[in-house]
Amino acid sequence: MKLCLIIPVLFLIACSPADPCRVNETRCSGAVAQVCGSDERWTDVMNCDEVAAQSGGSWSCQKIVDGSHACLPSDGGAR
Amino acid sequence: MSEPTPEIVRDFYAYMTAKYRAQLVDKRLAFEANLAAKVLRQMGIVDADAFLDHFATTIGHRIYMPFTPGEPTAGWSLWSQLMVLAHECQHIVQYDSLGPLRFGWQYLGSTAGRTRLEAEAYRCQLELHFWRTGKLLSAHELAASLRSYAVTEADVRVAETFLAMSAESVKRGAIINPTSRAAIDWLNAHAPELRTAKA
Repeated sequence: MKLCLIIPVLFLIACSPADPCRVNETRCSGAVAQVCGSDERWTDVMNCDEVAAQSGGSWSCQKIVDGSHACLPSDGGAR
Repeated sequence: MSEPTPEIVRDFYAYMTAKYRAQLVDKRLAFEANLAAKVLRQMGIVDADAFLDHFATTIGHRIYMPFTPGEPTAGWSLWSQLMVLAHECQHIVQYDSLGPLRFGWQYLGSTAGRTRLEAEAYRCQLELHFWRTGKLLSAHELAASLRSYAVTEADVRVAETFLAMSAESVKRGAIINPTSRAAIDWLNAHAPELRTAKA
């Protein structure tokens, strides 16, 4: 009987997204700008540390004017 | 605006295919491309005729092109031939990073996964166009290209957001995709005259 309860619970845990989100929502997760996909899971758009390595300078994930998020120069200036 | 010469295109293809260990295949002649077209049509992902005529396709390290590099056609200008190679090489980077099983699962198994992989590859067009002109391609129009890949309208909106976020960084000087970085470094060294944007 216990097994009958445990298995569906495990199944639900296995199938539900670990960190669900609203489709098209954006955020910074540390140095990574993310967007919520149609599957309600966060997906990486860009990693600002990798942007810095490739583009030079210092970049960090920040909120931008339209309310979404992107990697921007940490000093605020254009490169 | 200066156009690439056929020699520039051919040299660029030689460089990028060597760097990413890509093998170019003429899509119009390849048996497996015709087979892939049938499979994709069966899966409802891409119309078979459109797939063969209008899309470059990458499977693993094999890039199927619907044109001969360096020979402009009605649908493929020489500049678009450069951009599409960077796009396809980005799929090779994804394939190597995820491995064949995860890449295949993400690309074929869900529209959200396919959207992410394609939006990232379309970022190459955004970055190369910005390098050349100093102007951003429309995220809305780039994302609309994904409708050809049988994704949902929600996916197209997510792709637009993905590309708009990327554009905010690109216009401040970011180069996000490694294949764009490689392409731009090569173009700066070998074809700086293509660039009308100020460095």
